Amino acid sequence: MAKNNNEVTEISMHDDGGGAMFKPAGMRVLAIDANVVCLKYLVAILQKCQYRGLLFLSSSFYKLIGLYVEIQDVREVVVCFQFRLCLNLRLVLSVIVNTIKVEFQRTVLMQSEVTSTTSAAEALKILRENKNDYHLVITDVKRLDMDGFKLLEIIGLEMDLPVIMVSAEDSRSSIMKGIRHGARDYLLKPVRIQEMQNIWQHVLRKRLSDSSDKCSSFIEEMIEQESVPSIEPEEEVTGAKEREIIGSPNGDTCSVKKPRVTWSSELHVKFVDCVKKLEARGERVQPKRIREMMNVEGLSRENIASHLQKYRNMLKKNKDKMNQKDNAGTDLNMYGRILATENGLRGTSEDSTPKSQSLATSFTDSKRIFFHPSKHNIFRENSLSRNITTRNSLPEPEFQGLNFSASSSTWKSPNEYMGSQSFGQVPGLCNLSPLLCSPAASFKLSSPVLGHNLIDTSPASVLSTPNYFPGQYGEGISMNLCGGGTSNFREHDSHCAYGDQKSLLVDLMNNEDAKLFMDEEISDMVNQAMISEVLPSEALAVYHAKPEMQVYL
Amino acid sequence: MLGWGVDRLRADMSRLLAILFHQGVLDEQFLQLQQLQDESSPNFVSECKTDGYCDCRLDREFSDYKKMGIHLNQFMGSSSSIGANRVRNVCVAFRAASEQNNRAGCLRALELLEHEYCYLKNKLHELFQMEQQRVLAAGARYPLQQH
Repeated sequence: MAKNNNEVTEISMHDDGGGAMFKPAGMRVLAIDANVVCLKYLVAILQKCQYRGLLFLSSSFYKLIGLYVEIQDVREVVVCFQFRLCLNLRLVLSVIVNTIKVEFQRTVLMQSEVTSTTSAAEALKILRENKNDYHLVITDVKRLDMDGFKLLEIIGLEMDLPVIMVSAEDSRSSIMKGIRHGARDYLLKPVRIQEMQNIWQHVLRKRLSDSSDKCSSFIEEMIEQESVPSIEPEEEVTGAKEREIIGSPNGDTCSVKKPRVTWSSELHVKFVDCVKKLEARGERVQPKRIREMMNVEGLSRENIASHLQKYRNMLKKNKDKMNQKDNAGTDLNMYGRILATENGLRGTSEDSTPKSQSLATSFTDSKRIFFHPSKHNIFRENSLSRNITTRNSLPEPEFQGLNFSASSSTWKSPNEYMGSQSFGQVPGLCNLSPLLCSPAASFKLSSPVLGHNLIDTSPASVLSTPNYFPGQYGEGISMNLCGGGTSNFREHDSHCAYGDQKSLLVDLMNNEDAKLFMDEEISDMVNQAMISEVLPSEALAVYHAKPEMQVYL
Repeated sequence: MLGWGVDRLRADMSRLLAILFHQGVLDEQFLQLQQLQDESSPNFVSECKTDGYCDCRLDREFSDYKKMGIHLNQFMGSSSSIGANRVRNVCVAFRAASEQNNRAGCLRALELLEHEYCYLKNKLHELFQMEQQRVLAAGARYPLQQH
C-alpha cells in the first residue's frame, strides 16, 4: 500500500508540476531548520520529489500508455485528479496527465532548487533580497536564534509567502499556535516524502485565494502560460526547507496580485449611500449586499468589508469624540473644506446659512476626528487604504521637519470672520490662496477627485478660510512652514493667479500635504511617517457621510 | 574472491540492519533515508552523530532548562529524521520528564539517552564501515558497475 501510495503520489507530484496552474514543477522552496540533520534530510526529500519522478514517468509510463491528451485538457485533468478519491481512477488520470507532462517535458529535466539555511537571520535576508524568487518557506518551530512562530509571522507579513512549519513536537498547543500565527501547514518530523510531494498545494491554494476575486483573467493567462512548457531553472539544494518556485523563473508571474482598489471619494460616497439605504431598509449591512448595490467593477467583497470596517471604526471614533470634545477652537479651514466638499459632493449651490456656533463645534471635532492620529492609523495600516493614496507624490521629506507652531488658537472663531473684509468678492479664493501657495500646493497635484464645483461662494465657505491666512497672503500665518514668513508665500504669488482656483483647491484638498496646514494634531501626523494615506477629500467624504456631522452642514 | 567478499559484506550488513530493526533501534525511516541518499549517507549520519553528541554534552550541564529543551527537540528531530527509533523514544521520555520538572527522571532519561545514542552510533559506524568496504570491493570487481 505504501508503495502504491508512493507511486501515486509521485505521479501526482509530477502532474501538478507540469499541469498545475501555477507550478510547472519548478517550485522554489526555502527551508530553514536549525538542525542540520533535519535540514539535509528535508532537502534531500525535496530534491527527490521533483526530480526522481520525472525520470520514472518518462521511462515507464510513457511507454506503457500511448495516450495523448490535448493540452487544453491538462487543467481539467489535473483538477479532476485532485478530487478523485478512487484509487484506480486516480491512477488512470495521473497516468494521463503524466503522459501529457512527459510529452512536453520529455527532454527537460526538472531539477528542483531548494535553498536552505540554518539561520533565521540569513533566511530573512535571502527572502528580502529575492522577494519573488521563492514560493514557499518551510521553517522549524523551536530554534535558538529566533522563535519559529515569530519567524513565521514575519515571513507571512513581509513577503506574503506560505509558510509550513515542521517540528518534532506534536503537542496540540504547538500546532494551534502555528496555525494561529499563519502557518499553512504543520508537519511533524520526520517529514515524509509523501507530504513533501504535496506541499505545492499550499502555494496553489494561496494563489487561488488571492486571485479568486478579480483576477480570474490572470489565472487564464497563467494557465495558457503553463501549457507551454518552460525549462525551469535548476534548483540548488543548499539546505533547509524547500523553496518552491511557482510559475516561470522570472518573477512576473510569481504572484497574482490583486489590483489595488482606490477608494475615491465618489466611490466612497456611493458606498455610504448604499450603507444608508441598507440601514434605512432595515437590512443588515453586509459587504456582499453593499457590493451588489454599488455594482462597481473590480470591487471585491474583501475590499468592501475592510472599507466598511474602517468606516464603522471612524463612526465610532467620531461618536466618541463628539461626546468628549467641546468647542475648543475651530478649524475653519477644515470646515470650509468640508463644507465645500459637502456642497460639491451634493452638487448643491451655495448654502447660505452660516451656522456659526455649530461650525465651531463641528469644525474642531471633525477636524480632530478626521485627523486624529489614531484614525489616521486606521487608514494607514489597512492595506486597502494604502491604495487610497492620492495620485500625488508623497510629501517630500522636507516637510517632516517642519515646526508646526500653529495651534488651534490661531483659528479664530468664525464669527470674527463673518464680517471680515479680506474675503472679498472671491471669498474662497484669496484666503485660500496662501494655502494654495504653500509649498504643499507646489507639490504635484493630482487631478481633482471631487469635481470642480467645490469652491462655492457661500459665507460658510468664507468662514472656511480662517485666520489661518489672516492676510491676503497669509503673512500672519503662525505656521512656520519651511521657516517661511511672507516671502514664501510671495514666491508663490503666481499660484494665486491661477485661473481655476477651484481646481487648485480641489487638488489641494486631495493633497494630503494640505493636512499639514492643520493644527498640531496634524503636525503630529506629519511627524509620523506617512501622512499620505488619508486623502483630505477622502476624509471629508467620510465626514460628509457621517450622520452626526451632517447636522451641522 | 573479491566478489564473495562483497556478497558477504552485504549479508553482514543486512543482518546487522535486521538486528537493529528488531531491537527497535532503527525504524523504517532509516530505510527511507537510505533510499534518499546512498552516497551521502555516511556523511549524513556522521553529522547527526556529532550533532547529537554536542547536545548530550550540553544537556549534561543542565544549565538552562529551556535551552536544554530546545536542544532536546533538535536532537529528537534529527534522530527521528534518520530513523533512530529508540533514541527518539528516550527523547520523548526525557522531554516529558523535563516538562514535569522531574529532575530524577531527567537524569535517568539523560543516562538512557547517552546509552542508546552510543549504541546507535557504534552500530551505525559499523554499518557504514561495511558499506564502504562493500563499495570498494564492488568497485574493484566491477569498475564500471553502477549501483
